[in-house]
Amino acid sequence: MSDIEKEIKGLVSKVVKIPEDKIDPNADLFKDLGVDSLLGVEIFAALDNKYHIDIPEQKLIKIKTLNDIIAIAKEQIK
Amino acid sequence: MGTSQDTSSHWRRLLKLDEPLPKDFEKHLAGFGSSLRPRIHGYLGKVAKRDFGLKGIGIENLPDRAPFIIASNHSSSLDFPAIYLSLPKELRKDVVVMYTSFFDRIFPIKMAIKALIDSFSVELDGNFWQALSMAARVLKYGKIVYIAPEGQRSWDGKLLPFKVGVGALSVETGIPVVPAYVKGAHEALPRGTVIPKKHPISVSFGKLIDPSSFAEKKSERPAYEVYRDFTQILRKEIVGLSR
Repeated sequence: MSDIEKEIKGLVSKVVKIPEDKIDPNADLFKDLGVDSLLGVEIFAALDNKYHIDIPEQKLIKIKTLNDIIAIAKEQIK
Repeated sequence: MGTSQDTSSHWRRLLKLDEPLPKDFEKHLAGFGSSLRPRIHGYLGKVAKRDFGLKGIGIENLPDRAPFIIASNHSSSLDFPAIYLSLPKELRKDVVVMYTSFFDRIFPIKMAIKALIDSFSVELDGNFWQALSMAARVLKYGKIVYIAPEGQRSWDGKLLPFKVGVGALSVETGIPVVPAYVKGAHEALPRGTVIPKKHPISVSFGKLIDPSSFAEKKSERPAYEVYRDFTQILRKEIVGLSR
């Protein structure tokens, strides 16, 4: 995991209030980890605050896993 | 997490609250046969009284005019009709109902909905933002929206946890919520059945929950947590009405 990926994982962990070591990057955050799907907004808001990226709604509704978030964030950061 | 003010702006963007309403918005909601509706509703009201002894309690808690949100427990397909028919006639005309777009594919059901009430359909599987933003726009347009915060009908009649969306909707639009509890609808028509049984139904309306004090808290805490607190208070009120 690269530094930025670790950073994003830390940020997601803080928003969803689940320890980093309990987040499997491929697990469905909402179905497997019980995160409220509306918390996706707070995740993207936190990414925006940190990296100043604007993630469109169409992408927000598609996220399921930490890896999805990392992929979208990295794409926008570029 | 960043400042809560920033998160609130993200919610507003997703709810499309700062976008102007389309010119044909009213047309989008309107059904047909609106001149006949009061007679149809009057007839349905009589049937509801005859077969279910439908009784509205706490009508004085309802605002005199739209917009507002009505949020209730949900364990039966009769919940919304019971609430609607318990409302004073002058408020009924402002109610807009949200229904699953699945019914758009069943022509007779779609026609029945459009004939009975102003409505809009939403994809309830997956893109809940479409439902929330549409509800926000309908409220902004000055209408009354019914929401079942459990997000589904309860199988055993017990109240399920509430989804936070209703809190986001009320706090961000600034439009209050009337808590309501429907009693007896689960016994009359539980989930999984299609033929109602005669059973007394009553609808209790609670005191209005004003979101303005919650909106102030967004400067101190993440918006999601503020919406969640609002939703928990709403749930507590509905539990109180059930006793």
